[in-house]
Amino acid sequence: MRYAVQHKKSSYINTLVVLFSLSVYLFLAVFLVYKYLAEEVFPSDIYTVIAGKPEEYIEGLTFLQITEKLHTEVFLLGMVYLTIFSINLRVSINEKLKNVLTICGFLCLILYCAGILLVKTGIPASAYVYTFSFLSLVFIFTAVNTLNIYGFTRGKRK
Amino acid sequence: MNRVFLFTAGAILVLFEVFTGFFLYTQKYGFSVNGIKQYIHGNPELFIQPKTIYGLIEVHFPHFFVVFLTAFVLMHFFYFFRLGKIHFFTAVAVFLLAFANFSSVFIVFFWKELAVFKLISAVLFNISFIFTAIFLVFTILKKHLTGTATDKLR
Repeated sequence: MRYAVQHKKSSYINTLVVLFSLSVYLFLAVFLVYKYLAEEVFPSDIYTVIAGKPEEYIEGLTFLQITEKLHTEVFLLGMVYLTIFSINLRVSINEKLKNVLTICGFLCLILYCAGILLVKTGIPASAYVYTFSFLSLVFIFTAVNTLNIYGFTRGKRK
Repeated sequence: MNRVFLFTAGAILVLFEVFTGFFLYTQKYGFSVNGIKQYIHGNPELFIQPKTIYGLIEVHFPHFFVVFLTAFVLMHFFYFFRLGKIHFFTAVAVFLLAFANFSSVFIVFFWKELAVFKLISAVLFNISFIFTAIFLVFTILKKHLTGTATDKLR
């Protein structure tokens, strides 16, 4: 009887994690498409959006607009970060791999913010930092999400 | 180690949100009672349009969910440490001040004279959040250095 209840609970949490992880995939895909359509993925594009292009009469973003943007995006990405990495704590995989992914994910989030701010200060090379950190962030989130699904569906969880 | 890093990262992200939020607040409202009155009720001499109730709700309604969610996420990290009276006090203070901060905009909309309430609640709300985030980092460091602050964190 007790085994049956525990098995039911285990199946329930597995289903919840899988459903949530699928929705995170959806969020990441939509976020990537949104960034692409807003022309904020590639270095030359992000530089034009933030610093502007006077020869084409394109105005850059003000510091206030950038702060508003970061305020919203960092909240969303921060919540996704905390949630998927919290689930990842329960997955039985190599501890070193977990640590590396957690630290790299956080560093990418910091570099993502720093990249935008540095572009505004007029350092063109930081646009590459931004693009690299953004794409790495999406890649790490996707990888951790996949590990979560793998861990919870294969029973490799603590 | 992983859990400790995740908690610290959470505290840093919350601090970032608080600082950017406070910067946006000072840019929009200014850091004075007059600035708050002008932002909400407008000023024809400076060509500042008065806000409508719709405009205020549009800006503030996501905050009513998001700020309390952030407070909950931040405060629940303490669950993994030894709890004391200060944790209950901090949790109640953060939630009450957050509520006061976001509802005060609507109070000022109806009673212009209470603009000082918005200023005080905003300052105290930010201080309470910063205190909580720093307190969390301090608790983690204490645990990590002495190994005495927790019984659940491994």
